[in-house]
Amino acid sequence: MTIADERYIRDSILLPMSRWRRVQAGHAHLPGAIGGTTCSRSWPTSRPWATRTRGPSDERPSSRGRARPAELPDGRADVKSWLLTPTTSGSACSTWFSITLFFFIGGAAATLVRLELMTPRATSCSRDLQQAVHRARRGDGLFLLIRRSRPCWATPGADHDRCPRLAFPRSTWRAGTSFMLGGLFTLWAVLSGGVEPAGRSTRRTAACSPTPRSCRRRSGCHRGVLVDLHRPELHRHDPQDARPGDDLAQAAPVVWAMYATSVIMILGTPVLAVTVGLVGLERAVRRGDIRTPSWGRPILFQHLFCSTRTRPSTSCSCPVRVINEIGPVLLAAAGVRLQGDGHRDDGDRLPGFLVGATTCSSAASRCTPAWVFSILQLPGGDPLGGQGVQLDGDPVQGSVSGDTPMLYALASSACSRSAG
Amino acid sequence: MAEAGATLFRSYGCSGCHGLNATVRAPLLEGVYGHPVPLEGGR
Repeated sequence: MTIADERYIRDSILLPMSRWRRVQAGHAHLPGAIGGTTCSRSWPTSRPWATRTRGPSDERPSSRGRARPAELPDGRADVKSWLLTPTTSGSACSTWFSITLFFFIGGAAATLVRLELMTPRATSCSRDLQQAVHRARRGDGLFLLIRRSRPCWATPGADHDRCPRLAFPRSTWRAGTSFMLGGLFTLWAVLSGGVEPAGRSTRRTAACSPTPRSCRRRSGCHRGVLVDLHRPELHRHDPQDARPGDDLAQAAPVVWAMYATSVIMILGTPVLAVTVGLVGLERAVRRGDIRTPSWGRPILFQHLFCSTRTRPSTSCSCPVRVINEIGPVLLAAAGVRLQGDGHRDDGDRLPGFLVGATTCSSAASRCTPAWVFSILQLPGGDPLGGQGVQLDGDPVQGSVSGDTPMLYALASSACSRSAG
Repeated sequence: MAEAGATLFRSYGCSGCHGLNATVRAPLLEGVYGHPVPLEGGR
């Protein structure tokens, strides 16, 4: 036991492992998320009755009177530091950027497909593209099982208090089960060499409409396999439709997205299953939580399962979260050490663009245009006058948002729909 | 001073884990100052 004085509080945030040797049992430390100056300014929260004079080392808030979010730990701002940042804020920005980028890619792909379909005499690959798109649409069943996030600023009339829940919706057992079934479905699809959803619903799809002549000629149109996951080429039942170079390299982006997402789901499913087992074991022995000395990463537990006090086993359905959490561990096990300043666990060394935002519990309230503008320090600063930065309330269910590939897949799925 | 600290406490996400209404299990910061706290291993 020790008395929590200022030194203790400072070291518990900044140096929890060095001086105090894990200052508090089960402490989910994220040292370095805030700097020492910010730490000092936060002390009054823990002792509201106290008064303290401003010291010479205290950094004043920004000129606008607001506290700036945490900067990159090394103070750099080049591309490499952004991509390799191990900080939560840097990951959040990278993810925000990547989501936006991938949405533009999906939108551009949708536009290209639409233009392709509008062309009276399309190119030779037009029919292949259409078929690929429509076959890829069959995978929507997988994507529909995944809950996506909604940014607060994109939700008209949303109460700010609900923003975190919008951005990180609480997953339910139904969503988790659906994800598991989706993963198993994908796994089965791979092992069986493809999925053939023959049936009436397949016949009445728009897959045949863009190519009526081809469909009339091909009696097996309705039996088309969406994507043969076992071979790197689009599956075709009718050899007459085969064309030279009709392989994955010439496939539409939606097909690439399908492949990538399927692989992610396949990889994520067993990991998630194992983690479910660990949590079940943890609950069975009534330890309360995964403690640091036991499995080492309470943050991992939080990220995977959106740990709450009342529903600790509430699961996050997004498999990318699992990948993002396991990835650093695998990299650390392989001896790969990415950029970092040593202020976080070794397992957290993962490029920011792969982390998929953000472990900070207030990420939902941070990820507003105002926050992005402020942390990027763009000219013009905060377009919302700070209204979007300070959200009162204590979020949040989850912490890691690995929506980037999923949003890419969704955008690609929307691309396929627009093409239909 | 206390309000400024509380604002920072929320704006930097500390309250998500270390606040009274935290949804995750983490040591509470509020009221910890000046009180005995356990170290790891019961020390």
